[in-house]
Amino acid sequence: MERLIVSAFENKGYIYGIHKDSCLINEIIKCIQDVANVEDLSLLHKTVSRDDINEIRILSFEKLNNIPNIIERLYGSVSESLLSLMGNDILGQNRLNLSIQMPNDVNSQLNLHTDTISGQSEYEVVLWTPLTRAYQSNSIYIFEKDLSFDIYANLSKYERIGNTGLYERFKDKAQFIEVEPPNYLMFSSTLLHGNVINHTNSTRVSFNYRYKPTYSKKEINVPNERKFGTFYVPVSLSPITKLVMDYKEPSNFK
Amino acid sequence: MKYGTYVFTRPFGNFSIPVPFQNTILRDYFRAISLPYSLPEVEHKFDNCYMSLFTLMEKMERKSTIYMVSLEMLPSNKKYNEISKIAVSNEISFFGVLEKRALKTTSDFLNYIKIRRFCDDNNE
Repeated sequence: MERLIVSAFENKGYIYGIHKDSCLINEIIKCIQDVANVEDLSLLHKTVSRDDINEIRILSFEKLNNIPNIIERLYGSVSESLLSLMGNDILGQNRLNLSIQMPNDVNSQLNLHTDTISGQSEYEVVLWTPLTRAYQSNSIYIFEKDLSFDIYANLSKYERIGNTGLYERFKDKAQFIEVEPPNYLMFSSTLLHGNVINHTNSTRVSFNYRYKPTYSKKEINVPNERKFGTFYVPVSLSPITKLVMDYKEPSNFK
Repeated sequence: MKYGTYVFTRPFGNFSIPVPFQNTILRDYFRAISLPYSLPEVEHKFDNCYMSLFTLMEKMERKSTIYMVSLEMLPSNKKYNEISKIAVSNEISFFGVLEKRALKTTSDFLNYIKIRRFCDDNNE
């Protein structure tokens, strides 16, 4: 199993998996259903207007992040993949992010980008979990590793056409992800991805979350808040890391 | 798109403001002026890269405004001239919340950069 995960990741830069803790995924779905007062999240657009969706998103975000031990449980749910990809010294994002993509909503569109482009660590993986069936234009698209790396390395050539123009140029290579709960997608933060206007008749709800190895290079170009202690919290620490956290060098020599 | 928002991952001027705080500032400003807030375009981290600003300008309709925390996010080199020409010819204004200032006409753009370059040269 581990070899399969590693080889898929090495080839494409992303893998699929199934959440071990499907109860957690159901709890998250239930939490949003309660906030939005709907039974079927894919039909959210039937009862909630586009003007009100942000409020539902914010309320749901707060509620799902208050599910007891959610960070620990989420790690337990995907730890097999993480162990294969980055070992057992792992930091995770302090909160889960929630996305809601209603049909024909132009305001929720996220242009072609990589997470690293805005200063996230290149050692990071993104856990993307649909809470409704994700397919065609209601899903996200992703560019495989080789193409992503090639475009990224030559990004300055595409500056004037912008991210939208860049997507237009390469859109025939975009892989639209087809996945449904309790499955997930895990991809490298270095991969180009984004979404388009949802032309299906189904709302897509998903959450995303990030993991990176405890020992990964610091982003020095971007003095942002994405650091261990603010953006990242420990989700799995090795015995040696725990030991070093308690260890102090002597410093009071006079 | 009538109102766009733009956030910056790199330091600008003498500031380095995390993107979530820039979001909060812009959201608060939009609330104060009673406009609907939409997700910002996030600039890339690379020095002198304005790819996301070009993307946003492409999306804007005529007589529209791009809001940002500070106009100091704009370049001050020759790329400023290029960006200001595109903005003026497409009737796109830039508004800096910190400066409470809009750049709309060619003369606005020229006046702003003249002062900015003077300040940069004199460490003001």
